[in-house]
Amino acid sequence: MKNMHTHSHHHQNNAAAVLALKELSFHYPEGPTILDELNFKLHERDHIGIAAPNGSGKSTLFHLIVGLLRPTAGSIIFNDKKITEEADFKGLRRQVGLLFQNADDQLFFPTVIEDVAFGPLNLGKSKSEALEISRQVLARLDLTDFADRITFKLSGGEKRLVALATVLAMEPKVLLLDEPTAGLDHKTKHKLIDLLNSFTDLSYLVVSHEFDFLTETTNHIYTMENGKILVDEELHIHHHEHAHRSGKQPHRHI
Amino acid sequence: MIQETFSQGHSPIHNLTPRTRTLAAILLAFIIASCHELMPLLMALGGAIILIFTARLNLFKAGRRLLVIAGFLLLIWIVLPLTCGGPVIWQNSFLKIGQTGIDLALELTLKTSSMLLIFLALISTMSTADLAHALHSLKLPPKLVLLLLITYRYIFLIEDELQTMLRAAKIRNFQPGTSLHCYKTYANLLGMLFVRSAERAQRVHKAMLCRAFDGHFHSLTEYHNRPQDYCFLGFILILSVVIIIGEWQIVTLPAIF
Repeated sequence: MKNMHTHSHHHQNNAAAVLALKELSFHYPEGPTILDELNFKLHERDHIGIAAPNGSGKSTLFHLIVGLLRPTAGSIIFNDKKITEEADFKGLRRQVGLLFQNADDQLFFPTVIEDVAFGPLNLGKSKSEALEISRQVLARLDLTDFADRITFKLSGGEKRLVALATVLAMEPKVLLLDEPTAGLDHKTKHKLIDLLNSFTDLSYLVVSHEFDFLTETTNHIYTMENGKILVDEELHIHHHEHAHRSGKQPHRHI
Repeated sequence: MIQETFSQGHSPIHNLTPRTRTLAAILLAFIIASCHELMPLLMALGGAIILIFTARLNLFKAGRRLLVIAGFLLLIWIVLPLTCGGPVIWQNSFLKIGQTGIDLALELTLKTSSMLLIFLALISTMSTADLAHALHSLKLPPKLVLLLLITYRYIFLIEDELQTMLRAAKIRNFQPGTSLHCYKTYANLLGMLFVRSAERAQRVHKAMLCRAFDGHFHSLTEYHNRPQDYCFLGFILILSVVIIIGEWQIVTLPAIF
């Protein structure tokens, strides 16, 4: 796990919490409880992974944080301010970028450059500023040649990277990534890992059921169970059986 | 699904800005729609044919598009002469063909074919995205522009979902036919497509909210008129004036029919 030792006492991190969730609960009207008094804190420059199976409420959690859903109880605190109204969430969404599980939902313009510039334009940037920001972000992701490509003709991996570009163009402080590896080829997955590791100024929270991806991109991995996030800071020594050729010969694993 | 066959090309028409082409098409459409006389409609058809040649469209492909309206026109040629009355041209014991119907059918044929040709030459020579931006620059309400852009973007995905469901039906040995079972299956498929599209629309709206969307549409495209745009608009304006003069019969012409 990257930099495990530099952050080994995460919950005693002295940096200010950018985002805090306090006893957050959610259920759909007359539906079962999805989140049950969940507590969580994200500090500046935290890179946290949540390993959880499908259907454990990960996407719901992200949608609650950015105000697409409203909690049934509990509170969301962003930069020490309790967020309740739509107006507050609008401010929050400028600084918290959410990468959707399905890139097709996130790319709604015919061309890549229009899509990337959509966020900056909404933030009140001029056309030339928005284009400038979009070109810079595309260059940072090695997508310079993609500017005039047609979004629906991109491959799955390309769509994911362009969707990430559209989020980064908003210049967020916090990134929320919902199953970023879903449907990615090997090469794009590695590109994504390198990219995330280069985001040293950003805090991000990744949910994924790919444990290997989380160990390569985050400092801490939590799990989600019964609508709660479980913080497991202890290192566990565990044994597991495995098979390989010539396994009968005496050997060691280092 | 949407091929946009004519949108890529090299011709004087393709060199005009999409805004110029859209403006010209809208202007001519309104003028042609309000004409009733033979002479101005023939002039409009002549103008439309000039535009088709200027756009250097593949005449065979353009002709096939004209076939789309042929069936509709055929129906009009059958129904109108029999039903509209006027001076009788030919009759037997139970059928009467009247002059008014023939005039009307001719008028409709000229109107639809010249408008279709004009739209083939001016509008089908740009991509749907360009059309949306051109309409935006002509002050179409932003909500409608966004609707057009997003429809264009997602219609392919909706078709994909339909194909997926059709495949799923096929691998379970579904045979299209005329049975109640078949109609029920199609009804369910269509219903499912609506549900999935509505759900996707909700997800897309959420994604838009996440990027600070507040109902305003900002277009990146700016159009700058070049000399050829002014020349073309001048030509369209002269054509329009000639058609209007013909319609008002300021210049008297002998009636052909």
